[in-house]
Amino acid sequence: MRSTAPLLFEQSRPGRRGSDLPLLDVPKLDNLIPEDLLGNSKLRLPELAEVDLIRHYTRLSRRNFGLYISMQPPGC
Amino acid sequence: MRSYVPNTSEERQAMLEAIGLSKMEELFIDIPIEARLKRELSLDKGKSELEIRRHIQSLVGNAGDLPLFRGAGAYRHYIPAVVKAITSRSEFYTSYTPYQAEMSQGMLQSIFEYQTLMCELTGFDASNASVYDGGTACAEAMVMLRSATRKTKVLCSSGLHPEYLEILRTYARFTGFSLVELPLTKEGVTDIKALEENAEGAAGVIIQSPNFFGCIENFKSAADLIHAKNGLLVAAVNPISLGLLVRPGDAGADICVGEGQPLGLALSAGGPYLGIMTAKQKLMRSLPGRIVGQTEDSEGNRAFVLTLQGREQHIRREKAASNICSNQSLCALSAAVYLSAMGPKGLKEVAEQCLQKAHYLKEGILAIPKMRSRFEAPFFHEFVIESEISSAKLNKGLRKRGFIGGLPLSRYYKGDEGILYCATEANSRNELDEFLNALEVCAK
Repeated sequence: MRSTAPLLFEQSRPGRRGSDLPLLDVPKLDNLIPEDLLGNSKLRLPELAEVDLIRHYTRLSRRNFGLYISMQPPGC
Repeated sequence: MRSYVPNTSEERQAMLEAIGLSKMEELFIDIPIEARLKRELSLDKGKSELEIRRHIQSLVGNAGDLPLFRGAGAYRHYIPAVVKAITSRSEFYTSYTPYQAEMSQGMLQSIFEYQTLMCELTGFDASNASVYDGGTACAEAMVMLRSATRKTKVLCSSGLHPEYLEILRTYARFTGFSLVELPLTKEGVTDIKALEENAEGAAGVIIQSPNFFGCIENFKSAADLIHAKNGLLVAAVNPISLGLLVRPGDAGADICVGEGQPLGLALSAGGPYLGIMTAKQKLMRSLPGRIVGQTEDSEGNRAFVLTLQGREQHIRREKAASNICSNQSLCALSAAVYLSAMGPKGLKEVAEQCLQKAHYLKEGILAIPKMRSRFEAPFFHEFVIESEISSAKLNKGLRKRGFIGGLPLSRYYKGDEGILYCATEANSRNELDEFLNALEVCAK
């Protein structure tokens, strides 16, 4: 096992998507929220494909102990 | 559909360039030209996971859950299948508190990543590993106000979720706070004049946006006012709305709390949910509950541990920041997977669709005779409608026609016949139109 696992953010690649929504199916209205209440910067969330996520969390799960692996006395 | 092919067109182009090609077709050069398909495959346009789910449900004659048009703190959103696939791994759902870091690196790293996501989403420096739910987070933030300012007078908007208010009143009653509830204006937002009049000597103010009635509050004005009186602002948020709205940290808030259920958690009859708590760095040591930090192991490798445990009750006993020493790890994991699956563009799309569909629904309802809007402030995905027809009668009729209508406000406010409606990206146009038709019939 590798001694560390890269962070979600370190695996981010611009433009990758882990999920899609159906296209908006109602008429789009503009200016529903005043400018000063809107966010002005792009959120810095990771951009990952579904398979990236599955592999990342499978890797993390292999670095974790659970009751289905063996007994774990509370407090340990 | 973008998400079914993991690599982006830029990455595919880079791979082609690496092997000295410029177009994908050049990969097929060994296939004789006469044997190649010279047109696009005649397939439907790609469908999203949600559309496929709806299609399969219709094939087996199962419409799934009843179409739902209420939220009031618990929201129906599309949850990508990857969320459940990951949280169903037993190493996550049967793990114990990660006190022993050597055997808990996976869970500790996942919590560390959750905390980073929450900080990015809300615009703050520090996050805890979560508390029970949005209401608990709100009350714990009130305790933080006292430890930061040594004052016990706390202002809160009456636009807070009534259940959050109940928890605040309970905490206040038994831990010596004096709670001042600020009224709403007729537009549906916190009365900023009342805030100004009561701000003197207050530890801070707690305001929720969008508030319980769906209206969007102005955190910036509230922060300026309360800071001028040396108080702090606690911003309670719906995390989905931050796909569009200004982050509370950018608007000047000092602490942010929120109900994390919309981030990939099913309604599940009310729980388990997820209490989000983030704060500015100077308030980090007043945060309740667990915090995971990054460190190095004996070989110099990056590793994760529970940190700043001096705040917690198993170390400080009665002097602890809080009596909560638990967190909602599996729910926090769901939120982290959801946000990572959506990414910045996906979250923005969810928020935009919620906004648009709720406005479409409101416009449709107001076109029905006898229906009136109660508030005129800008709203996100919920709004209050009044009419002469009793909410019980309307909802009974809707239920008969296969819909769950809005939330009758009488549940929380005695005698209030208003109804709080909600629409999210999970409500299809078809559902919205059928609901409006049914409501029109019920209102006759």
